[in-house]
Amino acid sequence: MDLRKVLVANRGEIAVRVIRACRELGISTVAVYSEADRESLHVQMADHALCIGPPAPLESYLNIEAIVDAAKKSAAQAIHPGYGFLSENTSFAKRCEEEDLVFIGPTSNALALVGDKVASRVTMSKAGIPIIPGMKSKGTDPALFAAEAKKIGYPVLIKASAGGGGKGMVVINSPRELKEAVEASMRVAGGAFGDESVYLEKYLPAPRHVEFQVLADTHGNAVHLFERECSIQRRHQKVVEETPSVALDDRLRTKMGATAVEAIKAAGYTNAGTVEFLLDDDGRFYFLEVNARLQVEHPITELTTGVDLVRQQIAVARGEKLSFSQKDVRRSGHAIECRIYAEDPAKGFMPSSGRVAFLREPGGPGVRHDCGIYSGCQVPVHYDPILSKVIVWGEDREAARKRMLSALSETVILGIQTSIGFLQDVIAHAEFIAGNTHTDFIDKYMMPWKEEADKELLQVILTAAAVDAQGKAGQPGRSSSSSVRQVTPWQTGGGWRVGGQ
Amino acid sequence: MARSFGRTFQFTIGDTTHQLSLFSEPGLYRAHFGDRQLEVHVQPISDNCILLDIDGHSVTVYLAEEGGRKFICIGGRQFVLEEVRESAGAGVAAQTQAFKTDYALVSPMPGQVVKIQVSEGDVVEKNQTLAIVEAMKMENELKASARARVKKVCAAAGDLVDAGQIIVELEPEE
Repeated sequence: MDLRKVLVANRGEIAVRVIRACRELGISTVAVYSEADRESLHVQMADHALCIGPPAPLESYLNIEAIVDAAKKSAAQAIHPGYGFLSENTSFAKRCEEEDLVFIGPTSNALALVGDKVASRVTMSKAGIPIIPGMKSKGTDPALFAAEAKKIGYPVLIKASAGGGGKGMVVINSPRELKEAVEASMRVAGGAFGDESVYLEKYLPAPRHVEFQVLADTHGNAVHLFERECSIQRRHQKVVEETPSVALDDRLRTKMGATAVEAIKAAGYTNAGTVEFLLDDDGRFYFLEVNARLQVEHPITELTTGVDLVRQQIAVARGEKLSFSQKDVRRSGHAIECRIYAEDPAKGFMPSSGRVAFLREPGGPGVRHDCGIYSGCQVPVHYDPILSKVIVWGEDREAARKRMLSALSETVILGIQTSIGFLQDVIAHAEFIAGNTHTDFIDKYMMPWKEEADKELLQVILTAAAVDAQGKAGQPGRSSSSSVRQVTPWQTGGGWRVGGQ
Repeated sequence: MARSFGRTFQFTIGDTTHQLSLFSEPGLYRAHFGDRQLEVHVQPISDNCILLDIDGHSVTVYLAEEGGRKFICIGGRQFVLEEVRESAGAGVAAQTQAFKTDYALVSPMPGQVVKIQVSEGDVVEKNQTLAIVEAMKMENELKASARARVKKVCAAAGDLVDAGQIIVELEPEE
């Protein structure tokens, strides 16, 4: 089918990513935005833009009525949901189907199955795919959770059944934390996904998180595009991802890949998706969930396989057959992604919002920066703190790792706190170099953390600050971040030009 | 003719305050750290970038001022500095800060109040959760730092709050 106009129901870097793919395909784009995002980058990049409501996600990016309305008003034929927000919302996909809008993703039936983590646990278990011990039904009654926790033993994990991205996930070590944790999890789940049901499973303290990218068309063809290892996490949210995983040999890779394709077929799933597994050190793997969306970390698969996943998503949504089969899928080299969040790793990764006073993006061969911000933009408090992603490719892991260090060292985001310095320390860590990447990596090796400067660097920093302050003293009412200025304060304040000989 | 006039600066990075004196001379600055002295040539590049030539080493420094704080980034490492000004105001500010920390519950970040779990007159225990503030989908439980009595509840569920804004006023309770 012919697709000429796509509405992108998201914001930030992923909306920008999708808009770019559409442009390359000659498809015109419609951005939607909340009142807090009028000046956001995705709005600037799209061909058309419509405001869909107040800043609160429930009233804008999670507002199905408003988004469907925007699609009709703008005569968009399809909606790309990005990740998060409505990307895995069955009611939204169903509503699109009813309104004759192409939902660029799986069908609402497949979404209902895999998007419901509890239902998919049941399906996978029936198909003989190993799952983590825990509840096979969801609930709201704390007594139900207490009983299951007692049965499988603490620690346990509460998860949002409709969830993703770690939202609503709480680890519980003892029965007395249970009630409050279930309530908190339900509240977060309700706010983030519009569905407050949660469930409980055994908490595995230090597994590896390995996922397989899959692609399935509407003609019964499905392939996997190898794995991504996403073990470096904080608050159950991925921070660093890489492919290939150091933990897989070819035998295990083939087995897990085949299981992923089986899982996707069992669910009748189409379009791009990700099958997540937890892997222990003995090579045992457990089905975790299907992420029925484009993943944040999709670029590392793109860099190693040469497949553009967003374009593939659009092709599948158009009803096209996959243009390649499993044996055609090749990968080369190694790719790593670092997520740049607006947060302060020195203060428990507390979110940081405000104005980005200055941005300098990394560059060079094998470096990709998927970015949702610009110099001067506001980072609102209402949404996920992801600002951008630095993605690198190298011939092997060590080449990619060094390239990542170099790319991060030239990335500058001033005005808010970010995780850039922290990420450099992760990538440079001896245990990361050794490939000892497990989900407890950050707690075990990185915390507590703060940005350290040796004496030399500290003196340079202080000198720069003093020179800047001195300059301002000589130029009352001017600041280094003002964009219009004839003379910089260093030229006048230091006296080294006006002072003369 | 050489002119030289110095100024002493104090900057706080994290919990530590550092001091230096900066002397401007034609064509260069001298930065004094105790008995160590750096000779610095400054080359402005743009509003947010300067090149410092320090004893023959060239360092690219990115910097911006936002919310009264200086953000300085060198080699991908960002440091946030606050200038300590030598005035009576500084002492007052420090006292206000201490007052806030001990006798008021403040939001550590800009965000939205999800829940207030106490009412006026309640006696709360150390580490009791008094309110929940959410920012960027992260819930933060704000806890009492000591046993106290709730004097006034200053925010309600749904309110947007700034970093440092008082959410619950407390008073000592024996």
